[in-house]
Amino acid sequence: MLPSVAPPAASETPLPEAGAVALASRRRNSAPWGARIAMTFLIVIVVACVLAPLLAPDNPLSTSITARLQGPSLRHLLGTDSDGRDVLSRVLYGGRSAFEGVGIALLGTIILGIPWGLLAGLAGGLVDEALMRLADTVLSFPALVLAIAITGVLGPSLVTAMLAISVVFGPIVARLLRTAVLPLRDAEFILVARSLGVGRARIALQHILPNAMAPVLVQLFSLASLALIIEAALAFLGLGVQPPLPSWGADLAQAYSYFTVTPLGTIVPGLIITISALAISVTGDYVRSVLR
Amino acid sequence: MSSLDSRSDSAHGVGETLVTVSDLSVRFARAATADAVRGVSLNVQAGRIAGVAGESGSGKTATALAMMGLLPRGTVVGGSVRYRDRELLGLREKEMRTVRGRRIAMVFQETVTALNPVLRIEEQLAMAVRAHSKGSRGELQKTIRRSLEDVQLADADRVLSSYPHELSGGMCQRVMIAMALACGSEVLIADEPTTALDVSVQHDVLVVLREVVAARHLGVLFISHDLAVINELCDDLYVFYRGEVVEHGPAQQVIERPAHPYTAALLACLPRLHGEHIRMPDLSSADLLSEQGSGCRFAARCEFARAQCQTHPDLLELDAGSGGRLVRCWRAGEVLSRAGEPQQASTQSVGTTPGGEA
Repeated sequence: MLPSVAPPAASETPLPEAGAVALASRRRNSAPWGARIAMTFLIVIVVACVLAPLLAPDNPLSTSITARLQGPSLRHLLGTDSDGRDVLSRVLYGGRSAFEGVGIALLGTIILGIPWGLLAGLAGGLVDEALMRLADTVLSFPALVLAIAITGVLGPSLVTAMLAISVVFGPIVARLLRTAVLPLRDAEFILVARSLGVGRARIALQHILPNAMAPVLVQLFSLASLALIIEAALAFLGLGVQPPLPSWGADLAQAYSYFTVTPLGTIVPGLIITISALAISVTGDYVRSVLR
Repeated sequence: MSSLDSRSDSAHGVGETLVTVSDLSVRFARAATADAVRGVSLNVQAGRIAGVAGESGSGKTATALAMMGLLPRGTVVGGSVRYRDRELLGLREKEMRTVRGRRIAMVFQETVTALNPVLRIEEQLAMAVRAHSKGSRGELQKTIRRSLEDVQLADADRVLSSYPHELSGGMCQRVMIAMALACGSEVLIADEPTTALDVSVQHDVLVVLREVVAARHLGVLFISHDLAVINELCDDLYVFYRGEVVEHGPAQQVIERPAHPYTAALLACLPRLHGEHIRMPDLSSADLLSEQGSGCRFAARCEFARAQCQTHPDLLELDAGSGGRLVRCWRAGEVLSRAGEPQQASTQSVGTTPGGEA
């Protein structure tokens, strides 16, 4: 009787696989300090915004004629805006709509882009061609212009703005996914799965998709960062979150004409938009390096 | 999961024919003239391992893929492949999927890369089994573990929770066999399963195959270019040359006393410790063209070739008493008698071309 499993012979040292495998069985390396700061910041700000009802000193909507345009004080840590509302509270609540917006945009992008790309990559031929031409068409519109057009039609609000973003981002993800799917179709383990009678849907979802997701995941971080900025930009233009609801972009629009009076009202929203977007982007870079 | 347990299937004895391939032909979409497979007939029987030997391009893999319905779209396939009473060629993809894995399974040459790199072994095994049955999780676990046992992977917990790249090639290959077993297939087509493995690991896998065949009465079609392995493992042997079966018979007999010049030449080419290394004569381009003609496909390289070999030989029975051997050669009798003689060194006279030699 043979002894059971022998330890791998030297010549059979398994080869490390790239990206997709790193995703699955992560080796514990310590992240570079920049990435750690970025991730920490993100976690902190997201948690803070989620806990805004607990953390905010004031109701972000409560105005006060007497307390307008004040500088930082113990009562108002970041001062007040031109309507007398507490800036800190506005920022905390504004973050909710910022990240909610990012969430909606990402969800919409995923729901639109992944089936799109998967279908194009797997179907091939005419279907693939048609889907990719459609993607090209959508991508020929500048994101912001398209967002403005869509919110113009559907009426301005956070949700419509973010759906508009999804429409633009979807084809980006679709294209990326399709590119990753194409070489997988001929992969040996796909042939093996087919030879065992595994159905096409299962192969697509459990074999192909997980192996193709790595570049898409990285791209989603970049898109999230962009979504944040676009949400702020749209709010700035009055097309996203509508006043008096708090939003970083809208607050920025309102405050910058009073820059000389209370610079903080302008600087804080501006800074936090920039830094949040940067943090997301840096985290995305780190994810990309991990997946290599 | 008794419905998948081939041991409790309606009893089939050793020797029962499970798959019959008749006059199979395969032509790939882009190939203008040559058939990859021409008029191939073979049987797979329960409890027996049928070997398929031949060089690259001889049509072995194409035959296997044709049996599984895995040839690329646009490939022209003719003839018949019958699994029990069912004709497999021409089945719709959906129906074919009920056959693949559940009835007939295939094991490939690649080992580690033949498994999904981002899924644990357990998930991949489960997926394969789930494709064919809907038992409870407990039954699923039982089936999976039993199949791992059958391929002698004792540390089931470790194997199941591993990713493919954490296992060695031999272990991966056994996992693939386990997947086929777990699905409950009766027929296993193994396409060069040990070619990518070390000799020692190869031995383990072969032993596993033998045991699995004995325990579950599987019918195995074992494709390999390695005659030594075939000699050790197989009961029957089909020798392929350029898309045709040129010889068939009990494996050890064919190898010991080949009746076809190609088989004899193959065996003569096996490197030996003493004496000069013999090579089969190379083909010139003129010969390649003539090989596509209507005569024997091996004639251009055959030392026995004569005028009569311009007529394509049929697969003929050797004289009775040779144990059911078939040969596709007009001069098989002479080849057989020559097989008894010790081999000469390099410069044997060669048919029509001055062949290359060692």
